[in-house]
This record gives sequence, C-alpha cells and structure tokens, in this order.
Amino acid sequence: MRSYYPGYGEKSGRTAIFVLFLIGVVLTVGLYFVKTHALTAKAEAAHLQRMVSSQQSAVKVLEAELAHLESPNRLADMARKELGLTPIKVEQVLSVDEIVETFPLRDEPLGETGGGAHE
Amino acid sequence: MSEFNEAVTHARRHVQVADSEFAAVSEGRIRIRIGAAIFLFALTVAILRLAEVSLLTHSTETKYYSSVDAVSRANIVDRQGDLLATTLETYALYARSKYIWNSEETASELASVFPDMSEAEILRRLKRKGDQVLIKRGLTPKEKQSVFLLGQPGLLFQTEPQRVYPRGSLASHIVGFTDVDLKGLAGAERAFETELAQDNAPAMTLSVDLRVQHAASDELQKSLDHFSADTAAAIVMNIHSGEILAMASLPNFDPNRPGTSSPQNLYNHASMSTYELGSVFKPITMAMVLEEGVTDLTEKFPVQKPLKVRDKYIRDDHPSGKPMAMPEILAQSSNRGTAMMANRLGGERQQHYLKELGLMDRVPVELVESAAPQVQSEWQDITTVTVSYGHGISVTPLALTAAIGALLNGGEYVAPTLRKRDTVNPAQKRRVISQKTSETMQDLMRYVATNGTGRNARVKGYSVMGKTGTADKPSKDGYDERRLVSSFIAAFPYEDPQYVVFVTFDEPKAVEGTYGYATAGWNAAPTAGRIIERIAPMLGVKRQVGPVAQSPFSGRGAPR
Repeated sequence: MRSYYPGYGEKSGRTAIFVLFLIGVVLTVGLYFVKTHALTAKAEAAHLQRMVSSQQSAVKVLEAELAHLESPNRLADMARKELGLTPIKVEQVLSVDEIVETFPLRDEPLGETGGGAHE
Repeated sequence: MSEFNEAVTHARRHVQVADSEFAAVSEGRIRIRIGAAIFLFALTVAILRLAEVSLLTHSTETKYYSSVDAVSRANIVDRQGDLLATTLETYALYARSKYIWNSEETASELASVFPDMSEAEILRRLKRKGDQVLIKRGLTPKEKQSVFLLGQPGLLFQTEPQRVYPRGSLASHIVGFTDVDLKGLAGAERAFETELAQDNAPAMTLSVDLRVQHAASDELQKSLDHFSADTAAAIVMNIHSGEILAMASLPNFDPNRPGTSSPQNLYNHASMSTYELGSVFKPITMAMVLEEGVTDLTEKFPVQKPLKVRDKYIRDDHPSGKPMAMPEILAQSSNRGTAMMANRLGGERQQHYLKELGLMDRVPVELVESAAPQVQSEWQDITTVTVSYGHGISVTPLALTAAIGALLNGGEYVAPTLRKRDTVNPAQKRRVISQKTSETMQDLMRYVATNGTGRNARVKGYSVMGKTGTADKPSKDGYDERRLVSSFIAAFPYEDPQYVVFVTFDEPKAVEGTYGYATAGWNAAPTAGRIIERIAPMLGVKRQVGPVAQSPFSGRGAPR
C-alpha cells in the first residue's frame, strides 16, 4: 500500500517507531539509575564491610590486650610487688565445717534482751 | 483540432513535471531511511552495550573494592577459653624508591620513629633495588601514625597478619610459635597446623589450664633458682583422660620473639629430654611383679646382703640392716630389693609391661617435640636389674608421667594429649594391670609419701602419693655421683586418684637446709608438694578436715 504522497499512510508506522524509541530511551535512563543505585549500594556495602573488619580487628587487639593484662604471671608479679601478696597456704583455707570447729558457736544466743552490754 | 493538440501537449508537459518531482521525493526518502537506520543501529548498539556493562560485567566491577579478608589463623585457647595465641593485623612499611625525593632525609626521620633501627640500616634498605622495598615489619598502630605524620612521600603501608602470644613465656613450650608466614614451627602451633590454618577455623581448645600452668611453672622457677639447677620440667596430667593440664620446661622463652632466645631455651625438656630417671621406676617394677604374682606384699627380701649381678654390685643409698618386704623396699627405695624382684620376673615379662606402659616407644602425644626413649639393644640380665630401678633406660618425663598415671588410675594406659577431651574426642584406654594391683599401687605410693623418702611432699589436708627418684648422670667414665637428675612423681587425692604431678631437676645443688643433699627428697618432693598445694583448690579437690586417709601399711601413730 505504498503512497506517493509523503505523510499519508505512514502515520501508524512512524508512531510505532517513536514509541519504541521512547521505550528504549526510558529503559536506558532507568537502567542508568538502577545501575548507579547498585553501584552506590555496593560501595556502601564495601564501606560497611571495611568497618566491620576494622571493628573485628580492633576487638581482636582488645582481646589480646585483655589476655595480656589478666595473665596470671603478670597479676601475680604485680600482687607481690605492689601489695605484698603471696600464694594462699593450705592453712589459710577453711571449709564451713572447720569454721564451726575453729570458732565454736556460743551456748547462749546474744542480743535477745536487746543487747547485753551492761551485764 | 488545435484545441486537442493543445491539450495533448499540456498533458505531456504535466507528466514530465510529475516524473521529475517524483524522482526527487523518492531520493530524499531513501536518504531519510538510511539516516534512520544508522541512528537506530547506533542506538541499538548503545543499548546493548549498556545492558552488557550493567548486567554482565560483575568481575571487572568488584575489582575497584579491595577485599578485606586477610590470611587467617585460628586462635589457641586453654581449657577455660582463655586466649593463648591470636592473629593480629600489623603494618609493614614499604618504600617506593621512585617517589622518594630525598633518601637521607627520609632515613633520618624514620630512624627517629624506630629507635631499634639505625639510620644507616634504613638508608641501606631504602636504596635497595626494586619497585617496592620492605623497611620494617610488624609496626604498631602508634608507630604507623608517627610514620604517617612524617609526611614523607613514597612510603606506604601494607597490613600483614602477625601471631601474638599475650601470655608471653607462660606455656611457651606448649603453645609454640610460627614463622613470619604464620606457619607453625613448634608446640601446638606445629602439632595442630592443618586445623589452625583452615579458613574460618574455630579456636583450638587445648587441655591446658592456664592457672595450673602458672602455679606449676611459678613453683618450678622458684625451686630452680633456689637449687641452682640447670634445667627443670614439671607436668600435671589428669590420669583418667590423659589431658595435660600443665607442662613447664625451664628455662623458657617468649614466643613473641622466638628468634631472640637461645636454642636451649626453646627446648622442651618435659617431652624432648630423655633421662635415666632412677627410682621413680620402682613402682612400675612392683606393679609388674604384683600383677604376675611372683611375690606378695609380705615376703621379705634379704636386702641387707650384698647383691652381685655380672660382676656389678648393686648398691643401696640407705642400706638396711634387716630384710624388708615390698612396702618398705619402696618406701626406703632399696635398689637391691627391687632388683631381686625383677630378677624373679625376668626380662621378657619386664619388657612386655614396659612396652604396655608406653616406655619403650615415643609418647603418642600430638607434639612433634616428643622424643623416643633410649633403650639398650640387647636386654641382658643386668639390664633387667638396672631398668627395675630406672637405670639403663632413658625416657622423657612425659612418658614416665603417663606410665605412673596408668598404674594409679585403675590400671589403664591413656595416651597423654594436649587436646581438651570431650564426647567427640574421648580417651582411648588400654588395660595394663588389674584394678586390684592398681589399688595396691595407690596404697604403696601413699606409704612412700607418709613413711618413706617422699615425706617432704606432704601437704596438709591433702592425701598425696608419690615416689622419689635420684639418678647419677652418665658421664665418660661411668656415672658421676656429683651430677644428679632428681625427680618426684606425685598423685592425689589418694581416696580417688585424679591427677599426677611430675617434677624433675637436672643437676640441682645442695643448699642450706638440705643437709648437703641434692637428692629428690630434698628438692623435687617439696616442689611437687607446693605445686599440689596451689593447684588442688583450682582443680576442685577438697581439702580434708582432720586426719587424712592413710595407707594400710602405715602403722598406728605414723605421721599424717
């Protein structure tokens, strides 16, 4: 159905091409935004990942420091030097039974008359 | 007619005009189509490329973001979860020679940050050939900041993992160390290399208890200084599970700087040194003869008479004037009595039991640093006699600890381990002697600690079993009586034996208060006692109120 007159009968074909072109442009622009967004998100994720690992290594450093500070050999040295403490002797440990043995209970309970200080 | 002709002429002219217009229009239309096609083609290419770039090229995109996972190596922790070894990120300083504008200035400024490096040394490194040259490894964050503040161009940092041992020299021989590439070179670092090097491996839990380790090595160090011994070793082991709770070897080293220690300090005497340990072997001989039934507890042996085996007289350090039965022979540590029992048993059965108790082979502990014993190739009757009291056979302290553990735990050999035992990793047991013989051994060794040579190991409120061992060190011409190896094997509590403690000193000296003696009863025994005094409460062994359980061999009125 070709016409020799320009414009007549090609109207529908041209609209189709224009619409396709428009869709193409919209998709391209959309893709661009999606892509930009994805890149931003990726950068954000990488940033967070870096933060997580730097925090993790900071935690490791702190754990190592803690382990060093609470080492029994270090604590024992400090306790001996600064406070004059020594390891506990067996004689210094009392069980509950021994407390009763060493310090017998008194026969008469105290304080029943509101403190017998003047007796 | 003329009208007709005129009309024809007009029509012809019209057609000619229409033809030329048509040609012009159609030519223009073709050009438009070519233009549109080119445009559409370009647009399609652009869209396709965009789609390709945005959807399909993942690998090239991720390159822009450096991945942050470094080489990892799992932590090592003790049985309570306390940290023994960890991996930290440190910074290595590199220089790019192309960008350095004044090496001398850079070197002098760097030398002010690193007092341990000379300016000349830094300059030498800076001038090395290569695109990127290493200046220093293992910078602390503070040093890194200082270098950063120098503002010198051409310096750059790279993060590097480094192994850190926050406990320093405590348990250094157990934990070991790695090289700069984090490959285990010694101790647990080497023994558990494959597990530690795995990606995302969980922390490696050792059987060691850091508190017990500290108490044992602290007491050992004090005694080593007091008795001026060359080296010393101590082991604390759970006799039912084989778990090594503490293993100390002195002198020790700082695993953070293993290169600065002498090789002698790196040596683990507890598992690597073999000694002729002497009388601590006697309980082993007694267990054999009791198990085989060649004698009983009441038979008296004529230990007052000289004993000669192959032109060699067997001497006793504390000669007795009258015959003695087994409990006395062990308590007074009579070589003659033990030799007579071994003679009756014979070398073949003796070797069988020694093998069953793991004294003829390398201790099957995870450590690479575990030495094989030195056993005589030909087992003569004199070998049977000397081995019965711990001469002519050299074993490691760890091997003896495991063997005595087997005698006291009900009679089953358990291989020592550095791994914490759990349901996944239960102890493999192998019966060597009967439950009954094991109980008799407990009685005998309790008797040694109350009435025999091990009296100095007593701890108030705790029932300790034990046996001393003092051996002359072999020298060029036989044995040297002045150079001793003294040791004490202890176990507690007697009512329900749980733990064995072994202490050994290489060449201890006699000091004030030991009456000129450098024998085990004066140095190793009290050291073992002090270790027990400190570790028993940690291990949950209750102190007993009132009199502590006695061996049935102790008569009435015997001391504690």
